[in-house]
Amino acid sequence: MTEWSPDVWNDLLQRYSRPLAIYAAQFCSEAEDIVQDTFLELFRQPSPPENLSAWLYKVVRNKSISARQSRKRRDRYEQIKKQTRESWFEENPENQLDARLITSQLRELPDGQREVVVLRLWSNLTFTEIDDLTQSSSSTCHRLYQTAIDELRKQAGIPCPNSNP
Amino acid sequence: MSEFESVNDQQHNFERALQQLQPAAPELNLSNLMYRTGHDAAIRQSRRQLRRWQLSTVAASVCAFLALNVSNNTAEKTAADFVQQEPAVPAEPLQVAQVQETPENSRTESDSETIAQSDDRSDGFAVDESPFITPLTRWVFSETASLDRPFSYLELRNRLLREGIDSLPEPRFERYTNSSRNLEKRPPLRLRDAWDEDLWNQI
Repeated sequence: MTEWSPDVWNDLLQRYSRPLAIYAAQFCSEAEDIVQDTFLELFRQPSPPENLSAWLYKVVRNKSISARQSRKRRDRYEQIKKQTRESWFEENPENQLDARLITSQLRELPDGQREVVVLRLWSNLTFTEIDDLTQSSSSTCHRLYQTAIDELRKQAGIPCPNSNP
Repeated sequence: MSEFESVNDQQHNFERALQQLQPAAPELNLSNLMYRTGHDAAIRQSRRQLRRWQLSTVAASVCAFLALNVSNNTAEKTAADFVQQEPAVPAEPLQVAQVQETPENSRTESDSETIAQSDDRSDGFAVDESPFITPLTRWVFSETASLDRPFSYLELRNRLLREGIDSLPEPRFERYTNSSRNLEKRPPLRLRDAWDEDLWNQI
């Protein structure tokens, strides 16, 4: 088992806990448990993964999808819980956009679009890494991302240059 | 072109605005996480130590087993070599023959050769080297030697070599009478009988 020093451990938690949490939140409501299990899984590895970021997101994705599939009976309850849940972002008056509004808009996006947007904007992954993670082609990721951005801008009231007035 | 640039600029600005939103920190149970991590590490370490004990025990058992096998094989080989070397040529008959030899009873070389040939043996005095003498036969002769039974030729000869001429039984004089009738009825003289006659003639 890999021996992590406390400093490295804290650094990993601070760097990856938030992006992983918002990424897991779009699949299920147990984002915190999934992130915790992911870090525990990381500490059990005999050696550190080559691409730590990709490994973390992959594990979170798999666990989130499994958690959602295993609790299909509670979808209705989870949807209600999501609606009453606080936003995925911290409240900050200096932000130009409303955190709760953006959160609700992200929830309304299709799963594929939402996933690509979250990974691109708040996880800072490249499109190549997103392709590897989602097992899709590069053109598909670009298309999904552009479509999601246009939809968010439309819902935020920011006109798109391509849209007809 | 300018419209393309404005699209990119607007999109970039929107993206920067979105990125300003900081994801909320998850409420991780750090104490539970640290406990589970340490617990797993302790379990793995104990399993590793257990494997070391198991491997060392197995290795020691294998070494002991091999050592026992090697020692047993060595012992068996020694016993087999001993058994194979068991049929030894006794030197005593030769020594006895030399001690008992007197000028009157001295044998000629031709007699020795006759005796040797009659025994079908090359050396003439060796007992155990005969292919016709089996261990059972040897044992029978050794057992019957202590009893008052008619001796076989080999037993007679061995006794002669070991104990001398005095150990021979009394001859059956009836065979050696000068009666013509007995002579006529006398069986054909064999080499063995010639040996007997020669012995008694020398007494």
